Amino acid sequence: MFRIAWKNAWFNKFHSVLSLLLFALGVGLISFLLQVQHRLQQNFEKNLAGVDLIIGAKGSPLQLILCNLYHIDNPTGNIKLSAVQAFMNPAHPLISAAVPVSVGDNYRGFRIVGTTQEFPGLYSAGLEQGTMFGKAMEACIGYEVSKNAGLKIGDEFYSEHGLLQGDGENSHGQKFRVCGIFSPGGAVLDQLILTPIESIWMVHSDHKEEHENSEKSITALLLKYRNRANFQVLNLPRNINEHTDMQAAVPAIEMNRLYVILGTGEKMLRMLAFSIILVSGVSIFLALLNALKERKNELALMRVMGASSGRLFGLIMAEAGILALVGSIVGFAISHGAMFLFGNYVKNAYRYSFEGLTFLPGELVLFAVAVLIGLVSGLIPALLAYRTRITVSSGQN
Amino acid sequence: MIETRNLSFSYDNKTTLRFNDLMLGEGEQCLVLGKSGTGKTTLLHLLGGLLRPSTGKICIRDTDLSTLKKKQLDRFRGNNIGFVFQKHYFVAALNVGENIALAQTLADAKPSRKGILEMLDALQMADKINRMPYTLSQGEQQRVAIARALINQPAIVLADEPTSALDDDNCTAVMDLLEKNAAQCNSGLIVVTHDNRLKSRISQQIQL
Repeated sequence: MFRIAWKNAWFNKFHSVLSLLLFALGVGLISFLLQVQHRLQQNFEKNLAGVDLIIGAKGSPLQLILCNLYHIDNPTGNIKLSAVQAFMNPAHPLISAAVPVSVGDNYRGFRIVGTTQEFPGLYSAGLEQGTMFGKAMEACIGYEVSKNAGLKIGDEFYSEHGLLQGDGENSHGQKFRVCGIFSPGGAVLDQLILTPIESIWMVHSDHKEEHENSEKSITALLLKYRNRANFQVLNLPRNINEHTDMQAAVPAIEMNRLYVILGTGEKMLRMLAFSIILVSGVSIFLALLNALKERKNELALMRVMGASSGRLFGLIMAEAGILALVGSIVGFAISHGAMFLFGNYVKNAYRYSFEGLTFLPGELVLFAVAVLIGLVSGLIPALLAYRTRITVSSGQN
Repeated sequence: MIETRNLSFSYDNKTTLRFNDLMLGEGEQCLVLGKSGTGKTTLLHLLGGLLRPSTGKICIRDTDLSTLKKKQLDRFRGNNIGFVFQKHYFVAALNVGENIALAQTLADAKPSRKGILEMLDALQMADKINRMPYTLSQGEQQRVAIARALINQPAIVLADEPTSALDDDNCTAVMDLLEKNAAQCNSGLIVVTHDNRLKSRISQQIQL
């Protein structure tokens, strides 16, 4: 019976392929959106690195986080090291780790981050080669940096002012020396050059007077709490925001805000894709209904040959089901294939890693809903087939 | 083997058709003659279990059709009755062999390619087993239809005007095939027709 449904579904190729493509388009689009959303969140969460709070210069909290945690935006400004020194006391009752970050220079587009040896620990990253940076002007580089900038242990390089690769005219006068390369972790660390924070102060101290006179400054301080459930930590960001000229931002909250902003656009797309699936459901419905007229005699014939009404019902439902099923599978194949290609592009363009091959639980729901829509669109034609009257059409009329 | 008693059928509670009793032994052949509108096709549908009679009863191989439920009747029809119509219908998406196999599947028999080939061979159609039915000529389609009607070795083959659209030569050919193959399968044959050419072929005749 299934074989017959299969053959029938492909007999009227034009209509079947049309319904199928529509179906695949809708399912593929939603599945693709689900994938992108999932990968983005996954990447963002991986790079969250367990940081509970970021303290930096006043400005957009989202920018502070995108800059200092995800390394995709510009700094909001600098803060004085002395202003946050208290948080870096290892005996602080609320804070288990405080990692200073100083960004603003690059080497061939890769960001140079002045920090402490605790920084790689946030990503639980280990060294693949060499030793951890210790003295000023020593640098440990991420895996992608060594691969793409061609830096090896012992190589020396000049840093460049700004976050984007320039023409080399703004180079600083002191040389960094590569002492270690991190093993690849899939997080943003792969794209960074780490150096002791003193290096940053050194390279900047030589070329402008303000720098000489000014206090030592950093871009941001990344904090981890001892106990997230402690009610005092809930007040900490507000205290900083209200009583100092610095701001404190909670990455989890800011990233949620970002998801909400992105979510509206995504929701629209998803609704569009869903309506495509619905339209393809209607297309399956019309295709079957249309075919039913032509196949009246065929169905009557099957009744004559001993098929029960239930069997004819099942036959039409199976045809609708096959179209929905194959359409969904094609859709998933397209979306995952596209994800795979898109992943390679994103990896190159944004240095974020995407893969296309895992199946998400949300997609299972999508699959179930899609097949259900297919079956529902087969329902009325199947009921009509169920009620096929043999007598009218079996004879000569 | 097939026996009807006091059969009648009412259309829309107005027109009532009454049928004389009919008795046919195992493998016997019979002609039902009548002009248009005398209920020939209705009788055929009643005998085939496609319609339920208003009164009276039909027994085929000791089964009273009125005792069968809807689904059982469908199954019984698939197993015991073969149909040949004036026009030939097939499942368009299936080839000749598959169309015949479908008749077996619907009768809950396991489709056997060997059996189908033998049947087609008897009708000189074995080489057409993989053709799509609607690409065949009318005569070939008729042979496939006969093969399909006989594949389950039914108790009875019901033929509705199998010859009325054919010229004399083809009429003879079709009747030869029907009679010969029905006999080979030990199936009874009831031909419903207004075609007077058949009168000389089958001695047992009923006039409606």
